Amino acid sequence: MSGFAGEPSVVVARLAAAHLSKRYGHVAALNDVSVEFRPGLTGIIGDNGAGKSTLLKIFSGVEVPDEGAVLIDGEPVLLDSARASRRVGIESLYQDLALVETMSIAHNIFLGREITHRIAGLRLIDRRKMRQVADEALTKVRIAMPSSRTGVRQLSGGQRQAVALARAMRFGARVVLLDEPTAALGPRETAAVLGIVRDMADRGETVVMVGHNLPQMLELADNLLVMRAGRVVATPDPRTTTLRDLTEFMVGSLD
Amino acid sequence: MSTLAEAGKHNGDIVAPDPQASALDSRRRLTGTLSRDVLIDIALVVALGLLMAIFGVASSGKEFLGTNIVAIFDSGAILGVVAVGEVIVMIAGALDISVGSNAGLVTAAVAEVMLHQRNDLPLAIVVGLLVGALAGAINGLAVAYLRVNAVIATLATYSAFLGAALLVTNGNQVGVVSSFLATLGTGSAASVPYLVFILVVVVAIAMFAMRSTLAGHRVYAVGGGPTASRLAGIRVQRYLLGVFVVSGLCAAVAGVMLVGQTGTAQPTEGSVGLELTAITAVLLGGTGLTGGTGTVLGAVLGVLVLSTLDNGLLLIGVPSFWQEVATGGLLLVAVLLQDVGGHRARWRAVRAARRRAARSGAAMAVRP
Ligand SMILES: Nc1ncnc2c1ncn2[C@@H]1O[C@H](COP(=O)(O)OP(=O)(O)OP(=O)(O)O)[C@@H](O)[C@H]1O
Ligand SMILES: [Mg+2]
Repeated sequence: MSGFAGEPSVVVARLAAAHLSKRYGHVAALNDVSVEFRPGLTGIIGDNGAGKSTLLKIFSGVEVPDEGAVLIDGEPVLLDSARASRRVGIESLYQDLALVETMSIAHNIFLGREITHRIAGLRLIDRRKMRQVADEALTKVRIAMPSSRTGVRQLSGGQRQAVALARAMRFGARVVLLDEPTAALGPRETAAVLGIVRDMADRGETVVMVGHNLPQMLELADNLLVMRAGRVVATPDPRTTTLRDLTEFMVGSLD
Repeated sequence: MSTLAEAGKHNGDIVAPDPQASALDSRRRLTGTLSRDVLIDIALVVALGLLMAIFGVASSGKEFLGTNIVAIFDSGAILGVVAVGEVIVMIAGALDISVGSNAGLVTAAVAEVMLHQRNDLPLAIVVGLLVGALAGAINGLAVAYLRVNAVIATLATYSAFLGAALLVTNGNQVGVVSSFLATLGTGSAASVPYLVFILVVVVAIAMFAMRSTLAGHRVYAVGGGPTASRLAGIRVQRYLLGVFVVSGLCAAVAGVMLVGQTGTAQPTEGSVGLELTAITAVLLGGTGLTGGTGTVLGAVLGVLVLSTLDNGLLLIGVPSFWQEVATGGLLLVAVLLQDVGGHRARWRAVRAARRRAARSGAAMAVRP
């Protein structure tokens, strides 16, 4: 299969979208968007309302497109629920709603994928095993964390993101989607979370991150995608692109 | 200055790895949900002991401790089974107001089957349990799939089930002739009533299910974070449907117990009002209205406290309407006590801050 933007690709992209459109009333949030995501970190930038979150929501099964298809390894997949998206190996980090406040870190990491053992046909949860594995996973994130028995209610914003990231890493997601993961964080926690994100990309996972901090995106991302009014308007190379170029793509006059 | 630094340390900024982290950690764990549950259970056991001691002394008789403990369990058994269903629904973040009239409907169903099917008891019990589960499923479908608010949905079915029970029985009490049910409802083995055995079995199954099984674990998840659970791929709607079916089944078991105890179908008598007492017991037991917290054991202890109170007040001759007042007062006190832990820390901090401000002569607010 060849690339959508006209450039033929040798390797089939892990995650791709073909001709996605999504309208809300008469707002065209996405307008015939075709993209490909490869291993490494792809940054999505664009002005407010450009359609970045809408695109990610379609990949995570939260929204269903009016037109177009999502492809995993070149195969079209139906993502009609968060469950379906997860099942094809897409892990999404949501800004605030993804953790159960009343549960511990360990139980949140294993939410929906609890470790169980079968006794007489009953699926019993293995609390100790989950705690062990969770504690192990937490050592891989760069933020200091309390024990995995601690309730997430007691965590800071950065620690919460780290829990969500630990969850994504733990389950070897093929694609990780992050919508402004550092929007609510201080400088130190931002650096830590971005460090984890970069680690994942370096291990060869396909990481897609929406962000508004352009210098940061230029420095961190392997590929960039600029969105504007529901369309992908540019895919500049972060190594050769300047901040001025990016701003021009995002809000400059259209040629 | 030093107080400011102190305050910062406690404000959750524990990003930097530091040796205090583990101490902080264990302190936090002490205030976590698990130990809160245990604390509430202990408080309820203490309250039970106190109530029994008070009533024992007040009635100046050994009779209280001997026969009355049995009586307390006996009168609490039916309520206890209903409360088990209720607490599971409430852990899932919903509420079931229809359990009392559901139980009434089940008694009517059992009585009608007995009447028209030549006293076929096994059939009657099976039909009764099916009716209860089906009634629960109607609630569950409305709440989970039609997204009707649980209070409204079960308020509607509360009326509907009651009406159905009255329709089936024509508003009459229907006698049920069954020596087995009568024995079940009034007999005992080794001076332990059979109804109490049923309660113990139901409680044991429920405690095991909620603590140890995947399904129980996910009921807590769904109640504590429905959106997060859905995004994590948990089929939230199925679990919601499931807890209402379980609640309906518990109401059905209670209905069968009620038929045994009274020998009649009780579309209104004995079953109506069960829901409020059950919800009271669940709240006493430390389960919140917001879901994700609470325990089966707490709810059962709540039931025992309530029936001890009823029983004791009756024994020392307090008019029955005072029992209602006492129940309400107890609930209020218990819920206040459970919340106070969190609020007290803040009150203390606010008071201290005001004192410091007053000492340093700081302005309380910016004035134009
Ligand atoms: N649920 C919705 N209902 C109606 N309109 C919506 C909805 N979600 C998004 N939109 C509209 O779709 C467009 C794209 O929104 P989207 O959230 O994808 O933007 P974004 O690029 O993520 O912006 P931001 O940078 O502000 O997060 C906007 O015009 C927005 O108003
Ligand atoms: Mg957005």
